[in-house]
Amino acid sequence: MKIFKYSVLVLTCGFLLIGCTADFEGTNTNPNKITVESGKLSASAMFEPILYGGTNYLTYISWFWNNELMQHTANTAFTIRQEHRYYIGDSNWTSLWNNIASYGSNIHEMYRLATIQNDPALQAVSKTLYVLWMQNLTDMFGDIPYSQAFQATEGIKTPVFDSQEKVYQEMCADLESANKIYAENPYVRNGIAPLDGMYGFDMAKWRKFNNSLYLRLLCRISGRPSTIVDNTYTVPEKIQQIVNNSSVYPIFISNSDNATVHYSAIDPYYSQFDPKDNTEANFTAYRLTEETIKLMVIKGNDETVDTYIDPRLPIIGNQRPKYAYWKGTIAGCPSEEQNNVDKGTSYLNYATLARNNSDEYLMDYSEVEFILAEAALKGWITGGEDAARTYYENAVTASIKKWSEFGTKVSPDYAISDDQIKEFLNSSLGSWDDNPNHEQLIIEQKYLASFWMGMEGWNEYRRTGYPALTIGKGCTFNDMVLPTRMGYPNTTVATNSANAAAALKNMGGENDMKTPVWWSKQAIEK
Amino acid sequence: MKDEKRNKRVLFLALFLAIVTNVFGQNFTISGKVFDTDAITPLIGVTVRQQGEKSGTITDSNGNFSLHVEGKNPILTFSYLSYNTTTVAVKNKSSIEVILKPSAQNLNGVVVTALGIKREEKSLGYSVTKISNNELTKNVTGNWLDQLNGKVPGLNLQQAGTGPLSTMRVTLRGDHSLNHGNSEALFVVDGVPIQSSTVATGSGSTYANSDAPVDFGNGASDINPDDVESVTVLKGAAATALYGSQAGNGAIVITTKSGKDTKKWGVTLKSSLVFDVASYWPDFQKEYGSGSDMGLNEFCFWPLTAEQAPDGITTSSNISRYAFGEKYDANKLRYQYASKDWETNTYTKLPWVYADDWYKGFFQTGTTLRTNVAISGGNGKGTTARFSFTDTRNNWIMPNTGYVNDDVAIAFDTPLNKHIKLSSRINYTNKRSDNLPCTGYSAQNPLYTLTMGYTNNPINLWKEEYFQGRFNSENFGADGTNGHSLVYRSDNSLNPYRTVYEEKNTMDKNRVYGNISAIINLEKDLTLKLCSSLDITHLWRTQQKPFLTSGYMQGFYREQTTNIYYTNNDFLFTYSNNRWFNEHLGFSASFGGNSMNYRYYNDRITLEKLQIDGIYNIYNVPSGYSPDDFSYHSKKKVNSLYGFASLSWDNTYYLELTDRNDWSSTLSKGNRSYNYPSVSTSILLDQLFHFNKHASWIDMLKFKLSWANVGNDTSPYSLDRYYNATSYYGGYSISPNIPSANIKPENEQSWEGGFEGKMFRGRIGFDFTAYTTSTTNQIVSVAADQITGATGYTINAGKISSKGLEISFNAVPVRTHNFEWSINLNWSKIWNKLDKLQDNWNSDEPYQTDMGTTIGNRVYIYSFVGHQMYHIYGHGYKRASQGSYYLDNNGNKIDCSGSKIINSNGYPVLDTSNLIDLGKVNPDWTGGFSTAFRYKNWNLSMDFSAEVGGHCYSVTNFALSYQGKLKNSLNGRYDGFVVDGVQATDQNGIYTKNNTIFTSAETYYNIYVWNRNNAEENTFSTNFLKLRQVRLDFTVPHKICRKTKFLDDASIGIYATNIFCITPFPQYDPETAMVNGADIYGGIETMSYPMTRSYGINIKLSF
Repeated sequence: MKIFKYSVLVLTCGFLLIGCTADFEGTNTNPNKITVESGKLSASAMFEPILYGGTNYLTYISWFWNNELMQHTANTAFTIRQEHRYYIGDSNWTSLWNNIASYGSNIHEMYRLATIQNDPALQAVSKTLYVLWMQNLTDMFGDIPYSQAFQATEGIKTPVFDSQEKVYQEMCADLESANKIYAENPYVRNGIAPLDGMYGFDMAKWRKFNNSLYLRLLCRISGRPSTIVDNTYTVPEKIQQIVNNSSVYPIFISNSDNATVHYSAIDPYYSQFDPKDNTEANFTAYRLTEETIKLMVIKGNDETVDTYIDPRLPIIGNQRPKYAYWKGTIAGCPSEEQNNVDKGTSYLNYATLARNNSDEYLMDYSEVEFILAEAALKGWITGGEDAARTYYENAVTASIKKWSEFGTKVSPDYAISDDQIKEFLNSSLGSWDDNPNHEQLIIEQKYLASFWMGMEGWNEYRRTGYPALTIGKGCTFNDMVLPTRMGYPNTTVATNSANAAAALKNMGGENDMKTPVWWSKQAIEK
Repeated sequence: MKDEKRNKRVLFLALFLAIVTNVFGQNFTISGKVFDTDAITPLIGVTVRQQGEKSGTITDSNGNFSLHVEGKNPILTFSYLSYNTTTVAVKNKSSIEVILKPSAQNLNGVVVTALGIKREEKSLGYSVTKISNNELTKNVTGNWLDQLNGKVPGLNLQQAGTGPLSTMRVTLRGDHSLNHGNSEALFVVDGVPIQSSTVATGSGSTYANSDAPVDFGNGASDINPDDVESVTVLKGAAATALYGSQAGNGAIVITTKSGKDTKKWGVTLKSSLVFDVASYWPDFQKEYGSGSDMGLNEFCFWPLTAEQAPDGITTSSNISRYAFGEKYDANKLRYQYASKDWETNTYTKLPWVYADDWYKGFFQTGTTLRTNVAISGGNGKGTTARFSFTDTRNNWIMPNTGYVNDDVAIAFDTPLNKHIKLSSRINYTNKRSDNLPCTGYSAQNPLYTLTMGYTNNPINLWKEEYFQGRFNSENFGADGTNGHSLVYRSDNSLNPYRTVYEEKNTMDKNRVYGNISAIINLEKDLTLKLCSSLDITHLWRTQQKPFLTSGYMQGFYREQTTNIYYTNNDFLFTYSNNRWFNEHLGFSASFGGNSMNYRYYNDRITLEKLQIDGIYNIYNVPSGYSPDDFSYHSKKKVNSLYGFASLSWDNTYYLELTDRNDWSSTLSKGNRSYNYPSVSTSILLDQLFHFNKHASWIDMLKFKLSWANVGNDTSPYSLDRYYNATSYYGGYSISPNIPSANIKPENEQSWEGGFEGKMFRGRIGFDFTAYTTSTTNQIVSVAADQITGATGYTINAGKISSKGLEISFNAVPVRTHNFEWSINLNWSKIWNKLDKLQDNWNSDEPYQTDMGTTIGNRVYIYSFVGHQMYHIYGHGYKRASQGSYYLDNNGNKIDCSGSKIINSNGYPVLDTSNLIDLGKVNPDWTGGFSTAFRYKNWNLSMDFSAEVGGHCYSVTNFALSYQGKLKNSLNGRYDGFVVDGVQATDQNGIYTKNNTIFTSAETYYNIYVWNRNNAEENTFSTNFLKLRQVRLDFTVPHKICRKTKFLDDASIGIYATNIFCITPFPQYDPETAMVNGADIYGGIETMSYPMTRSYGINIKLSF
């Protein structure tokens, strides 16, 4: 009897407290978040962070990395900032790799959702954006995983690195297939148009962006002309095909086609350089360099006398109060000389650049015209020298107009008149006739036009060697070599060592910033 | 007095029964029960012997015994370690009840173990350390846990010098898990776990973060040391296996005070007053003032026009936050900040002298006044109660910071009848603060501002600028229309007074925790304990920043509410029987269960812009701006069943087996049930080898050995992958972490063994323990390449093994009636090795401890597979490779491998291509030594502690040094010197000895030596020897107390802490760390607050 009594007692205690674990599933259901498994998220819900956040990020790296590597600016004010001396290490590589790949990953997921949800419009948009980001990744690092990227959930945790050639071929294929979807003018679901602060999901405009990006890609690998793209064509053939078939491959034909992301300055639609986070002191630290001043200012006998300046310069830069002329600092100067070379140097224009409602650009019309100018000059497309000149002048005009419009958003404004544009095209800075090396002229002007737009300046420099930059005496951190690529992050090397090693072997170098990437001039000439 | 009376009563009772039962025969069995002083709690393991006989027995887990006695008038002795041995004449009773009184000297013999079970220390197969109440309340300022520092071998406290509440990270026997937040010890109060962690406010780390974290204190610091009876530190897994998954990292088991079973109600009044004085300072140089031109030009704060200047000479300003300027000289007159008369707008030149208080003057003497009143008593029939109220008021060492803390504790115990005893403990604590400072290297930390100050400006100038209202938009920033703010002219003006008076972080925390339990005697040998406990925290915090705050030019406001509900329900059956095998076998077994329920609610709203300056509420939003909302709720349940059995044979061999099974809601169905067994054994060698015969000076010699297998589950919602909300409403991104639905609980296996002994009647004692633990199946987010779609996968991976040694020794070299000298020594050492990370991990690559931004990615804490964990890595000087040489004047090859490489200007070059190992974070060993002298009623004690082998990178060091404000930048100021090293020649591997004198000391120190990139120079050994505390106590003699007619007891003590600290670590406290989110990480110091020396007095009166 007693045993029975205690059994009951034990069991009661046991059941009362321990009960059952039936409600454990409920207890462990996250009330805060949507699971991937639920399949409840629509593809369009992933778009805004990609578009706005992503464009902000590209503008950010343009400011932080491209400007410093490409000697638009040198942050010589803070002893802790030494990118201009190539004090760049694994943490920087990690941050760049992870951020760019993170956008790739989100776009990949958006594409997956669009496919499940049978939304061809968003499938096409995903593809275009995906190529944009992967282009940035491969241009920065060289060989990258492409065919096996972002497939951890499918079990691929150590993806194979594709050669840059193959990455470019696949990116071209993706743009081809996106172009075909756009061509069918796919249905855009109701209500999502306002999400797209660039084109309002106008498929025709996205299509132009897609194909313009295609031109960028082809131009980038033009040093490897025999590469077969779209399964059939060489690079020049494909460029010619695009130019000849504007109905099949519509491209940017004016600034109104630009891949411009508009920020309303209504929270959270702030552009990257919100005055809230960036003080003027931040900007004064980013000094324009001699190299940029040289390309934008004609000096008199004395460096204190500016006889002519590029009309875009006052929009991107500022003079020091007591210095009535443009002065650049020396990128990569040794620390000992810093105080000297910094005196009176012009710096980034806080008023125009640090606005939370400023436009940001993924790609613009001038770039397309610069590509065509080079293509005509080099005979990839028909038209020869004359066509090249027209394309070139269109490109410069488009760039100045773009910056003029940018400069009218502040008061007092920096509007640039058509006469000023003419004047520029006749000046020794921009004149086709005054500059016999037309390739150099085209690329140098392209370099200036690509200011504030991702890493395009650095990419084109590595492709062409223009503008010819001087390496400062203090650039000891990368043995006086302007970085040719970024290294793979530690995590990549640690978790995927065999494949990373194979990629480095394929590129022919160590995991450093001295190995040239496949499409670069240095690699081609090697 | 009362106890004497009770003893008399017991004796009388015994005598009476003896007479009554005299008529019975001469050989008989007597049974009985032994109680603790409260006459309720049974004492387990009391040795009962008949006087003159060898054999005896021990009491079972209910305090019961039965013993066969012989002779006419048997006398029983009851002995129990740390209790007075009591003799009782049985006469011929068949049953007696005995109450034992604890002896003051032997208090260490009984300890509280897992689930609140009191055990004799000698029967334990694992290591425990007990700390009594008077150790804890000796000196209470910020965090009572500090009193454990240096006293418990294997216990490590990490604190980051983060403010008055000074959160500490408590680990036992090192980190066992790669999961940094999962390595802290469990806190158990009165048998029930409580919440001990902190809830982060602010984001990320304490380096260069404008939203810098604030230390709002952690849960463990809410415990009021005045209400604590004792603390037992259960270090190994065997000791804590019964707590299951919660206590894989050891447990701090706290027993709170209960009432005294006396009819008279006693009142104890304790009061203490502590003065905290910031006492350890950087080594400031007083020779050269503000400037960055090596004194080339005169210092001049004000750019004056000819009209403004009294001498009509136009000036332009020449200032710098650097102290690479003019040599100080009272004869030099300069325009300084104080030169301006703000009323008349006139300027006078002032003598150019160093201001002694430019930095130190900001700090004030902190005070903590603490008052505790406790009333305790009972009805003499077993019902007891205690009520305690404690009020703590702290003004911290920085102006306008501090906190107030009120604690109420109620303890109530009553026997409902012969079979049931009810107990309850309720604690309420309210902690509030009007301002706690931001921490770390951030413009929100007033220290940051101070380090940027000019060394010729007395602190009063800061004070006046703020209090006279001159910190305003007109004076603000580089472009201030009306002049300049006091700090070096940058865009972000700062003033430390403004920071502490207006950038406020407030808190109001209300917490109730406690339990109700019943002990039911079901049968003669069977009891049931039922216990229900609750721990509720409500926490309210705000953070306010006015306009013109660095990083938040348009102000900032955040409020956060956190609610935590944590409940535990338990039952425990205990059966014990010592009657088997002719009483050779002692047996006790328990079976119990626990249901844990945890709910957490955190809601936060942040405004990074305000409409109106100085108004702090969530509606003060500028148009076009949306506040940042955050909400997180979580739940967790763990159900458990457990059992344990302990066996003893002849009071010599002890064996304990435990087993626990947990079911956790955080794991998937197939993995949620898991089991943790442990075995421990203790053999009393003194009994085995009959030392009492041949070596009677040995009181006790024990061999102990234990094995356990425990582990950790995980946090809620770790199984699914989510989309994360972004700042774009309705816009989502995919979580960068891929979880696994199949994760298993972590597993930790440990072995522990050692010897413990007591000799010369407790005058000498030692404990030698060695252990090894191995943690596998760790639930960690292992690093992944983002190109795979994630930066981490949560999997079971990794293996960490630790080995350790712990030695403690205590002795009383001298003991006379009036004088006693005692010493206490402890020492411990841990080897912590990372055996394995994830599969396919390239072991040349380091595992990085995620500490947020580690000095802007300049310094890292790395662990390599196959090596000891946690090394500091950073850049150091470029050095000549092995086999390098230079030719001396005679053409001899001189080996110069490892010499610094000097550039052509005479400066040493930093090697940025490699990160180098700058030393281990954790010490090789830690030790503590304390000694006490008692003369009559006077007691003098001293506590020392020491650590050897650890390292830390110091932000405070570089911040002050690169500005030239410390003595470490004086050498070669004007004449330079030849840096020891070699210069490269054209041929590889061949060098010339450097003989170039560098030209600029500023460049040398600012750019090369003390630059934050130079981790080699800024990383220091944290070896130290501290005299932590000296204390003198006087207890008023009982004679005098008695004369007052009302006073029972009175004592007074004075003390001082941190009397000295000998260390190569240059800035403040070598025991330092950094904060990231809710965690504290060793190895990097991020501008912690100065180490204080405290002077205190406390008085205790009992009526």
